Amino acid sequence: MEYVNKYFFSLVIGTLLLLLIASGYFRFIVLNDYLVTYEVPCDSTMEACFIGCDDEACLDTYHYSMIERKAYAVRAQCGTSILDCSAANVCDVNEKSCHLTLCDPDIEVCVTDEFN
Amino acid sequence: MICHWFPEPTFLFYTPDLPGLLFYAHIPAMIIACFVGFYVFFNARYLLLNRLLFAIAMCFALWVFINLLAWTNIHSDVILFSWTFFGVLQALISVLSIYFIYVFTTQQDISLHIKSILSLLLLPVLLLASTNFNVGGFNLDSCDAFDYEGVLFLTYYSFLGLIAMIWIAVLLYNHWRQQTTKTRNQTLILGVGIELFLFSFFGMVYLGSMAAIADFYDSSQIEFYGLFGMTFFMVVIAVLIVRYKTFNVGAQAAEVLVIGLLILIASQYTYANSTPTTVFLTTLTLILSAIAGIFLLRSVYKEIEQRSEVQLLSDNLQRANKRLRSLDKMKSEFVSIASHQLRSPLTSIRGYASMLSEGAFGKLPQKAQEAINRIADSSTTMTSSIEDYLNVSRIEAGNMKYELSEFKLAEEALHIVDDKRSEAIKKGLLLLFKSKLVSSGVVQADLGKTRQILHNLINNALKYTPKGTITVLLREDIDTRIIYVDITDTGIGIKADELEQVFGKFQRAKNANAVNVTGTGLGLFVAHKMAKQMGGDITVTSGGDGLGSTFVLSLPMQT
Repeated sequence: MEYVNKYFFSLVIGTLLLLLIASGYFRFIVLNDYLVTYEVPCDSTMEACFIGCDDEACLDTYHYSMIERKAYAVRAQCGTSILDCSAANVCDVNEKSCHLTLCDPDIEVCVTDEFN
Repeated sequence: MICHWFPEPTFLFYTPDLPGLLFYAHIPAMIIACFVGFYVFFNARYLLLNRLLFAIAMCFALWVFINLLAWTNIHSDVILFSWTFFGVLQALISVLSIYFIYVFTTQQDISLHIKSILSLLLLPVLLLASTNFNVGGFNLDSCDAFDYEGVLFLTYYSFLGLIAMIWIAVLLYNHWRQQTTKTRNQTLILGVGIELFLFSFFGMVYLGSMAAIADFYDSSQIEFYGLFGMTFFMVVIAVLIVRYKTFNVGAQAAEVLVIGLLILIASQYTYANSTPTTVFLTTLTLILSAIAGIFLLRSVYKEIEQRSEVQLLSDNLQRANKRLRSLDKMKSEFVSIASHQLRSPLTSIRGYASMLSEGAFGKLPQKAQEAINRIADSSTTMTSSIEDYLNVSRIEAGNMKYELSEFKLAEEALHIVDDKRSEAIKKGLLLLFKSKLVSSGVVQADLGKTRQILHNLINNALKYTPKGTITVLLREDIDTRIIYVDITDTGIGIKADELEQVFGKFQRAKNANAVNVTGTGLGLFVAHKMAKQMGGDITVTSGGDGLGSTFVLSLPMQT
């Protein structure tokens, strides 16, 4: 009983921690099983776009929408960087967990004039 | 995936765009936590308390490390893998802090029951840390996972910090109440240190995360300030080490303070916008502090050396004292055995001397009669001395028996005075008896021992008074219910500096030998001990050399 009491905490916590490290490593590093979200170019003549600023005074602007995809799907198409990878900007046909978020004029300021 | 808008850090962590406060808050806190943790651990790793403090410090240092990694790294998979452990490490810090305080207050390991409760509190965090309840996604544009952080999960492990604070406060308060004033400060200092650490760390980190989740990114930097709580806690630990030796770490803990101070000064370099002037001033301060630290450490080492020597002397003295006590006990046993062996033949000598003196074997010639009388006197003196030795042995061994009864002290004193009057007359002394008692004068004491004391005191007065008067006076104090017997003589007196010693073992006044050479120096020692054991006392006053003395026996009245 004394032996159990002495090592109980270390054993339980240590075992669970090792399992956690293994599962976390497997999920995030090996499988890349998580969502990534990033801005993608948006055509304001076709859809409602968010307005982004290129400088602090927000004199230069650009239009974007947000995309959310599984990291492993993006990685399969573009490698580790989505820069200059147009395939990252759209959802594949039948791709699960891919979601494009457009600007909602009821909530935020959007660029919508061009197509209305 | 990498955050393509952000540059890859140099030197693992360094990114010039990030605020200097990030590095200033993280790097010193991490180094100090590691330093104190390792220092305490390697100085007394056998102590559970030290191992727990080490675990807390390591969890904190790891948290700071992955937090710095999350702020500076641009690889989403690495950041998310690190992100998994924020909650786990914070929950572990909460639980380990409770465990630490339990061990601090009880000085022993906690029960399996409490360990189970603590494990149950940790279980949800450990099981859910790598699931979407904790974090499930990453924003490549802002290069963080705040958008995907589980608020419920975050709130749960932050709530564990609150539970730890309350639990620890209750434990320390209960411990504080049971302590003496001297040891309370230690508890108070530790309590303030750990509570402030938990409050600042958990509170600021929670607020920072919530601010980031709510898109107030500027406010999220509030978590940087929370890390200073650990530095404060480590300073508290250093104070406990230096002042109270809490972790059984040697006094060389001054090294911790000096190195901690140098780390804090050196951490000024982490300000990204340091100008040449500030770099110069920081370097100068660092060098001057290092020199002052070296002098401080040298003086501390010297003090430690002196303290060790004093400790060694004290240990040796204690050992010698123990040995002396043992020898004293052996001596008393020897005296007791020897005295018993001597008493039997002496009884025969006295008996036969008495029979010879009284003519039981025929009339003796004049010279033989004188010789027999001397034998009888000497054997009486020797019997008395042996009786003193035996009494001392009994007192020191705790074997002296007292049978308390009620009797009239005046009557006993009068009998002894009457017995001694002929001896006084022979010496040409006046032996007077006076009584100022109003009450019946009944005391509660051992009759035999009281007689022995009175006999001893009056005998002493007769021995050490060459001429004049000896007065035995009885008086009482009705309020305190004590009866006094004052034996006042006009004898050789006692010098003021010898008064305190007369009741010591084998102690005699220096002028005593001039009058009487046969005393053992044990009579007053025995009488004093006996009076004390019966709830009374014997005190002495004297005008000085040649001015007589007064011995006062006090005994409690009947109840």
